[in-house]
Amino acid sequence: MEPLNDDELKHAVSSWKAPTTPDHLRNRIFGARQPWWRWVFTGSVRVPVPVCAALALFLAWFAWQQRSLPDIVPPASDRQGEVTLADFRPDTEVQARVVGALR
Amino acid sequence: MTRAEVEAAFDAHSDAVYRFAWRMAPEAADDIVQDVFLRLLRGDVRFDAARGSMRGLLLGVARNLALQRLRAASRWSAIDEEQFVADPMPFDTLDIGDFVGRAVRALPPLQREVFVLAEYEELSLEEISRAVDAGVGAVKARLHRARENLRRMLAPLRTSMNRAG
Repeated sequence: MEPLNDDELKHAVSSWKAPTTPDHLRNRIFGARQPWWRWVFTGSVRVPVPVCAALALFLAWFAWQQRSLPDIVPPASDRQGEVTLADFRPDTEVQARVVGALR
Repeated sequence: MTRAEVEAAFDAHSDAVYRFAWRMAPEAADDIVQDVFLRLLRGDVRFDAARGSMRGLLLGVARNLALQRLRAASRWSAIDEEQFVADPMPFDTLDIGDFVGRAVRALPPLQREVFVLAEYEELSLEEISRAVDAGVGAVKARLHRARENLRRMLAPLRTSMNRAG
């Protein structure tokens, strides 16, 4: 039997059709699509290591700064229970009264 | 690659990968396509535009997975490859496409893969060479042997094709 020539082979080969990708494959690979708000609870964010390290260093520095600051002293008027002369007003009209006789 | 990029690659190339896998190992086509894109998603396979097209890369990964399966199923020995000379196949079906499919699948895998990539996926010799990890000379030789075998195997079709016009 004589073999097919080029044209006959080309024609024959083109008659073998393959199916397209089945729909279920996308779900098998990527999972079913989720509503966007689900991400708020289940999502994750990839952070590069240098950014993460810089952030950690900044937080450590900030915490150290907070601890080393001196305590702020409130103004005298804000302090309660303390006796001060800050609001003292001397009496301008002095009236002397003799309460006893001298012998 | 990000998930969105892999999804875009799936939309653009999954049909080509599926067709190839189906022609090489029909019973494992779903699993092969799934493995190809999961590897891309996990970063096991990296795309480098300087080293060829995304389609060529994906078909190359699918090719490796298909050969692994054929080897595991002991349906292929490399020794068969060079010595394989096909005889005309009995034309016992009404469907020419079905008959051609049986003939292509009867080719040894290394001939079959280059034939499918060249004829059905229309890859260039250089792209096929990258996908199957072989020199262009070896690809040409395999393609020539595959075509010669198919010319003989499909010879009984001539009568049918002449009758159809």
